[in-house]
Amino acid sequence: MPEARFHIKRFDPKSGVGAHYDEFTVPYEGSLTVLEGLFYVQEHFDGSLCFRYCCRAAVCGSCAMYIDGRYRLACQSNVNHLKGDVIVVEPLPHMPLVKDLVCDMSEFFAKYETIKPWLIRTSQNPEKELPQTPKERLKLDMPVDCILCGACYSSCPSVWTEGDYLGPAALLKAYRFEVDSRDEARRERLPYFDNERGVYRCHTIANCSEACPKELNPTEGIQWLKRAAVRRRLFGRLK
Amino acid sequence: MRPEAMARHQGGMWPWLMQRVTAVLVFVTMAIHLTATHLLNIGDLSYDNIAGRLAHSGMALVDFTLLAAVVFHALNGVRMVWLDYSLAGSGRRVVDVAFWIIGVGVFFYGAWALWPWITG
Amino acid sequence: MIYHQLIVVGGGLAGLRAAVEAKQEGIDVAVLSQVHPGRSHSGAAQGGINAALANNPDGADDTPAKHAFDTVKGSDYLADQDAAIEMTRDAPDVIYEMEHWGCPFSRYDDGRIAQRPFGGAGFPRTCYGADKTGHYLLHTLVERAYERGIKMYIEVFATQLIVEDGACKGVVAYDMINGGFLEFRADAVVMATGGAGRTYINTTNAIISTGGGMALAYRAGVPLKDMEFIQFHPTGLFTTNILMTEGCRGEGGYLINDQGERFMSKYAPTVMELAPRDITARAIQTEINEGRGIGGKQFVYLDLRHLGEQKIAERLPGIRDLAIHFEGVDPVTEPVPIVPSQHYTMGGIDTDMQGATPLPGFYAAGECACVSVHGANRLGGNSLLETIVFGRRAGAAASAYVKGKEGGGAPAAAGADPAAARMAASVEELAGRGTGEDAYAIRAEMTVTMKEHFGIFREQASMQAGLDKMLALKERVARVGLRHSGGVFNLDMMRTVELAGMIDVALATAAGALARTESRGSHARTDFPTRDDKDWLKHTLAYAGDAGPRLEYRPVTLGTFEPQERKY
Repeated sequence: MPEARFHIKRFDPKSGVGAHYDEFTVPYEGSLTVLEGLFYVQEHFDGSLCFRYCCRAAVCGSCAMYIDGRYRLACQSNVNHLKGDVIVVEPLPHMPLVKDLVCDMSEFFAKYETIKPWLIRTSQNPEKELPQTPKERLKLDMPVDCILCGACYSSCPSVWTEGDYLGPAALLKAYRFEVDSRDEARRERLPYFDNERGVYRCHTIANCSEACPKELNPTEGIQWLKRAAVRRRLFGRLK
Repeated sequence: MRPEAMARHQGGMWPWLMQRVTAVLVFVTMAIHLTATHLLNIGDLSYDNIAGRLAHSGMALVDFTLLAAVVFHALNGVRMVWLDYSLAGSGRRVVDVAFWIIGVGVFFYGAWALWPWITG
Repeated sequence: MIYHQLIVVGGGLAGLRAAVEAKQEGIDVAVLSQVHPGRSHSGAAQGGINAALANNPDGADDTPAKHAFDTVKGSDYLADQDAAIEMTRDAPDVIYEMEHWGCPFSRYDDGRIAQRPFGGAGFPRTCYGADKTGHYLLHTLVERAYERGIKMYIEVFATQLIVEDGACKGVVAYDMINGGFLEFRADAVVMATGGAGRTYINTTNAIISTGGGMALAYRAGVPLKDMEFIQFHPTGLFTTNILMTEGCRGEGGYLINDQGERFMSKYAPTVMELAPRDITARAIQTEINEGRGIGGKQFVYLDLRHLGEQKIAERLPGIRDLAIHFEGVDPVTEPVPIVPSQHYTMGGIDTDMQGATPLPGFYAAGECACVSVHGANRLGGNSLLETIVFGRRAGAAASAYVKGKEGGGAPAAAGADPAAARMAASVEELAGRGTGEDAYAIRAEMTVTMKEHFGIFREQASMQAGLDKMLALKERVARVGLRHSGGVFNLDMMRTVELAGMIDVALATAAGALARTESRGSHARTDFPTRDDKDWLKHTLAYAGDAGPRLEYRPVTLGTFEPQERKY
């Protein structure tokens, strides 16, 4: 039976012990995802290990971690495809920690909330659906797939150095609504991203696009927002 | 989001936009400058020739634009790196003012060097 | 102690819709969720949501009444017909509302919401956003909840209902981020915690779909209705049971056995792959049992290759990603190995059409509730609809209850939180036992038992053996100890507490299935292969008893559609 060796980063703020790595060896048949490996460890070796989980099908965004030196979803990472003898599992870097692999996402969601992440309508809605052509809908394809896992946010050097920077996920969400043909936010959302802790703090490093486990491109969305902001402020064009 | 953070970081479009505008200006004026200096006048490095070129009104315009654009672009770039380390409140104002003083100073120093050629 | 007028437990579609409705009614409402609401299992739904919008050119004659008929026929006539009629009548409005709130549905060229064919439906009426409809709907409602400023307690794990003076007064919950138990007091509670798929080993469900809300209600004396009806989705990935949407077949995918034939011609010659899920799942299982699985193995193929890369990229991009990442198979070039997998709990907390349960002040909506609109077999695309329609109704009904209630408001006694203290003490007691029985071994045995004995095909002797095993597990779970106590994010404690509830819920399934001596919808007995409307056109109600569940029955609401033989 093959075995997978995990080096798991451990940290308990209340223990007084610093961060360290524990090694566990997990036997498996056929294939094993990192998430399954973590459950095996929690069930068989160390009941105190903690990590986030939910859908195990790469759609809920719970289990984003830093696995083998890359941002990945634990549920989507098959140990057979990871290289090296040891699989290093760490929480999302540059984030405050709750414990072990669970990081504190409260700031992440506070920033998400800041950009008014909802469709803003000012005119009366029709009785039926708001018409939207397939071409207009196509523009939403990329940003609506975001699962808010936090990988991009954790990978962004601008976030590391500037705690107030909104980060790629929140700005991608702003893009998702600004680019929506049904959205009528004229100036409501603009001041929340068109500023120095918004789009202008992005230096198009594109770590976010590299990190995204859903292969989305937040950088592209942020660049679009910059152009939209200039168009709107200088030429008064509303959309 | 903390309201004070919101207030602290308003604006930002002009520095960002001007960085792009000056980049284009530097690219164009630098190209003209280098072409005029090294391709069109190659092999003819006499004092009169250079003085004449610098005195030409079109070249003067190019040189002044290049000077202004490159100074802004360079200092604004440094300022953006600086801002990445979160200069808050009054400290940040000091940096902004300091950069403006340096920038204007450097521009006038450059202008002072160019001026004699134009006025003859 | 934390007080809100209304507490909603669960941040999926049903819970959020209930909260939005209550907030609109001016109620001080808070949502408790074990995960951030955007991570709820509603987001894993793929294929779509049904409503008779008649947008599809082939569905121009569609009406809510026809939708209701398909729902009732699909339910094998166990659905309450008045509930099915009301749900299908509300359907277009809630779809338009979600669209107005920003849900990115796929579109036709004229800008209307696109609709695709789904199993058991007479018309193409399943509105979809590619193959990520649940994700889109969920995020739309999360966004609306933020817009409305609804208070959310995130990563709070409900462990107990507070029932005093015969009414529900709140919940006790574990604060995962800060540790310790919190006492949430409220004038009413809406339970919206989803299904109990994880009682089966072969499930498409999220790891948090453990039936927690059902178990809390059940222990508080609220009956669970029709728990024996467990839906097996025809197409789960072979190795992981991850869902491959019914939309694969709606878009024209084939099911193929080892001989390369589209075997559905034998089971549903008219509609082929678009038969309802119970019939399709049984067909696949029959092929596998009779040795016509691929290479004689335990799976058949879902073949999408003829759809072409462009259509797959446009309509089924998520399916392609899942198949590549989790099965190592690209549907564009290879057929996908699939196997029927536990997918949905038709049963749940007994509620009426307004989400009210027999316990005053206690409401339920979504998969954890049973209205019942799905009866013995749910149609694909009706579960998302149910969450929103009945989430809204439960929110409205709970708000009306709160407003009309005398003596509501925050309890005067500040200071000690007796219910939370009792919960903390009982967990301390668990921790003090040392290791004892292994909770994870019990969990593994339970999930296998449910699969083996209460799977797609059922039979008296096997179910009796299964029930005995489950009762033995219930005894063992009482001797489980904790390996890790206290602290934050204590998975050991949560998963142990959760296990006891899972066994209770699974026992309700087991007992109900054993008692029902007929075949109806998803409940297929080899020893009683036909439907028995004379004796069994009734709902099962399971009450918590000392030695396993106590069963009662209640007649089905008929009236509009006369029960007839179910053919497709």
